[in-house]
Amino acid sequence: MSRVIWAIVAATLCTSPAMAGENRDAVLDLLNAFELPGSETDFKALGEGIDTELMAIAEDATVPTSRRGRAVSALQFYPNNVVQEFLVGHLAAADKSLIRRKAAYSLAAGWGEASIVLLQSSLVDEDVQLRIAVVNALGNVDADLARKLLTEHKRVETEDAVKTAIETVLAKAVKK
Amino acid sequence: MAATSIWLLPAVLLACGADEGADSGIETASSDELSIVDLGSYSVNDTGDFTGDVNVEVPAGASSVMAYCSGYGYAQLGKVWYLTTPDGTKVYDGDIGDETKWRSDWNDDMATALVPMTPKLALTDGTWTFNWWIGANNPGSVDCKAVIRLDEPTDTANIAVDLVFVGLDGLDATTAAADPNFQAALAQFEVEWSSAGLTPQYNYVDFAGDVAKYTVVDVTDDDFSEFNSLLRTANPANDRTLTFFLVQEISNSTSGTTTLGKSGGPPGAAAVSGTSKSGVVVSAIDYDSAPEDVGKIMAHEGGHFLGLWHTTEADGSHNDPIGDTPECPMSADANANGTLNSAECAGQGAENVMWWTLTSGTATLTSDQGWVIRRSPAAN
Ligand SMILES: [Zn+2]
Repeated sequence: MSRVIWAIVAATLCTSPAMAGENRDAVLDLLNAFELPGSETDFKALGEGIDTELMAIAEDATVPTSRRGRAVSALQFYPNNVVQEFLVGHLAAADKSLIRRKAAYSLAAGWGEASIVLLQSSLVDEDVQLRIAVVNALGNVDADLARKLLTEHKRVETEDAVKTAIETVLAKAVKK
Repeated sequence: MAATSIWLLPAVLLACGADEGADSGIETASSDELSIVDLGSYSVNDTGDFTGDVNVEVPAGASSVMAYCSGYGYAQLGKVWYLTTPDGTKVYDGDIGDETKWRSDWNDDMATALVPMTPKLALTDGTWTFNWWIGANNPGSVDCKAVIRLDEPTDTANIAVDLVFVGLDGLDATTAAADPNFQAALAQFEVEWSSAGLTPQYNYVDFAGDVAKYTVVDVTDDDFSEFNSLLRTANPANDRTLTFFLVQEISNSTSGTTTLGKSGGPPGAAAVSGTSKSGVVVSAIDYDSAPEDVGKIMAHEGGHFLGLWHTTEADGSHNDPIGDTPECPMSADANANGTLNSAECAGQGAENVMWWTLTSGTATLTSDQGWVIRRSPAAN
């Protein structure tokens, strides 16, 4: 078994809801903020092991979906191999659409150009809201390859809302 | 605090001065209880400028005024920089940021202002003078208006609430009235507002616009156009209505994260429909699994709309201007991580509806918070 898989197994075993870490309440406080959830600085100020806690929260069915999604979003602040595997898994899984969308954004934010290949296949997912999220996520990756991919996808996209999102993202790229 | 809040002093502030004198008000519409006053148009330099003095004549017996300047675009920010009472006292100065009695925050497109925000600064009759700052690259002029509430509020009040359903799986205007989960959300909302003597009266509405576009409301750190355009569709039968748009999610596509709720303003454009600040948007995806949380988001964001602020911000940087709300000092930050969390602030504001983060249990509003929100032009 590879080191990465061992790490995922270890993280999963250590983060079941019944074994919530000592930082659970402090992390949830940041995830529960009405308007803006915690910043990278806020999460990092809580110390070590927060990525593990965030992955546990993201998989905890007793936590409301919006907060699970926020946990996935906060994982962008921890760009390590374990987190990448976790996010790729949740992007692909038949999970809540919102969780998949957050995984797309976090991959783009945490891994930049390297995330393009991870996100590409989700551009043709049947979930319209996921496609919009992937468009926006790729728009956040400042790379010619991402823009080329979006330009090509616009030709085959059937949903107006997704096309509009592509146009908006490409227009912003031109402004830059 | 609104996501548009950017506490930056405009660099050119000191180089700019007020321009033409203000017309003191052309009344354009009125009823027994509300007076809608056209305050006129004001030229502003496109490098960023003050509107100059904008006078609002408040009649005796009036209980609140919601004044605003608008039309400067989604890419610019504006806020009230000075507020002066009829006796000539400057009660708010943006250079100082004195927030003991009043507060103003940055907003795109439409800068709203509400008096009163605390019993410490009640509305008195006479000339109230507002002076807005409008950021650079504005279109050169703004239009200003005021809504003056003329009737005296009582210790309990009703408020019309439009519930607009936008792309929520399994929930629409027809099913919501009998949906036990959604009714549990409303029950939580009601019990939290009941502590302030305010009772919502509902009207269920299906969103008539582009559902695919607004099911997830996408904003960025500096572009709230989708949020704004959704609020512009608010079209209640009576302008004295608070419109909640219940969407699946508000998503910030800069960071990718979810915003649980967001109010126009704050304060919102009370009793004014069809503007970019005419309501509240709530991420309601959890209505079936965590309905009480959705009710709590409604109570909190509705509080912002009606003129309330966080009792204490997460970083301790601000407290609300209300006298009887608990404040949590930075000395309570036991783990010294720079965030005042709910455990650290137990008994010091964490139980309040306007605490910065959602907590378990039923949150409450104080007597003075109730005094403020029952005075909103939107309440009745
Ligand atoms: Zn808030």
